[in-house]
Amino acid sequence: MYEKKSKQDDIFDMAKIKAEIENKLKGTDDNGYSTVGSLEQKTQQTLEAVHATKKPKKYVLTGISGFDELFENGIPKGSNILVAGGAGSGKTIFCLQTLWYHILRGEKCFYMSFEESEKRLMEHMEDFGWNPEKLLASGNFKIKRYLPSDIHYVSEKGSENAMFAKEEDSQLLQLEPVTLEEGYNPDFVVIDSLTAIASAFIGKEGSYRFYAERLFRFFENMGSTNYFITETGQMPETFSQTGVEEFLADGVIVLYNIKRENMRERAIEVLKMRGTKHQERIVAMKISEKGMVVYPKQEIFGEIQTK
Amino acid sequence: MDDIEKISKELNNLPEGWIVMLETTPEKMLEVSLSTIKFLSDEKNYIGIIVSASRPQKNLIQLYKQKKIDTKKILILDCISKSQSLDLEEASNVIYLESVSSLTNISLAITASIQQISGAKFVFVDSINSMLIHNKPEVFAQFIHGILTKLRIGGINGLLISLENETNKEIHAEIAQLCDRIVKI
Repeated sequence: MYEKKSKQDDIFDMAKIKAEIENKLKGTDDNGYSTVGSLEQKTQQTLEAVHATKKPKKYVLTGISGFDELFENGIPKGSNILVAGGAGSGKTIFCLQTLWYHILRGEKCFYMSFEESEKRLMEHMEDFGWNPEKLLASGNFKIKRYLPSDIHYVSEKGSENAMFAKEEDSQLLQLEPVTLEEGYNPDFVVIDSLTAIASAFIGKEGSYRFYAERLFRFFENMGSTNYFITETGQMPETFSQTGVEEFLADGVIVLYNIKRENMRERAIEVLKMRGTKHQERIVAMKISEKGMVVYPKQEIFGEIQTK
Repeated sequence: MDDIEKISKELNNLPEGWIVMLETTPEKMLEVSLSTIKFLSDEKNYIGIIVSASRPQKNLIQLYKQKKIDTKKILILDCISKSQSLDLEEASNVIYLESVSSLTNISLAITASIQQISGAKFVFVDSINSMLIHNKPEVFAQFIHGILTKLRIGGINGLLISLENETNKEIHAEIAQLCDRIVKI
């Protein structure tokens, strides 16, 4: 009896098990690989799904641990996606992390910030070990800060400072980017944020709606997959500044930072994604020292009351 | 028949994958918990996953050692120490969770523990009443339903302890319907 027990004790290594559990909760192993779901396996499934369809449709992954498992195939390439959530819900991290994933795979990414400075955003990336300097040096990553007031010139006929628009008339009939470097055609773009852009249109909501529509169409024509960040309340009923953006977008991803008792818990939801099947439930999400981790099988306990 | 004899008889008569709720008095609660863990750990040679919403790990480890429970076969999910800003001593068999009301994290930790610990094991929720102090009954019902369903699907043994006649009636009924036995001590 004693001998049998001691043998089991030798085999049973609680310290190792504890480390494995903690890695699972972090979403990555010690080498930074996903423990929630295998990305490579998902990529293979995606490729198979693409080949299986008569009219091949290309999909992209976010590389966020567990998040891509919410989709049948991934996000349709070229989609315009709203990334909505309250303060501190992880919108910027979500976008930076997916850009990091794609830059490492040789794709061109552009982060347009209307809020935080380039330096601050790069510091965020450093916090998670994403080495922004190296990414910039690769030539596949550009990050640039704009002032929301730059947008304001859009409504001023003839202004050469207009960021997206070269007006042909007061109705903004033609949009033309003046900020993207010639020859730099990004595969992925983040616009951070529509909320900041909208602040340049205070008192001119009608103009903003029109501008937003043009903006979506402009990026759609560029062929890149685009993430538009929007700031909402913690329990939003609409997911954008005017409500029109969520109709214009192909997809809406909502991030939650839910308060319960004296704690907050994070969650994420794919509210809408045209062109692919996706899970229709709110699932647990964490932000660990290695970035965002989604738990596609873990429901959230407590009330989330949204429309 | 003393208390632990009664508990062991009940547990021995159930097929693996049992889910049992122990109902006891405040005076007996600690002793019932310790004796049951000792029985399952020593006699049945199970690995125990203890979800502690009542005591911090430091206190639990002391009690286990006094009771001569082999702590190498115990993993404690400590829901107390972090929220009370206690020293989080590095220990090979303790995982600190944010608080008793951090139900999603507790659920993730239980799921990960079940997956990582191979062989015969049990999950012990200590206690229903402590968890209800920090969580709304309807939210806790959703949580415990999810946990017990996971245990049932995985064929994992589950043990819950609560105070007799002190638990919210609806929660009690919800849990009771998912248990194989309610053992009153």
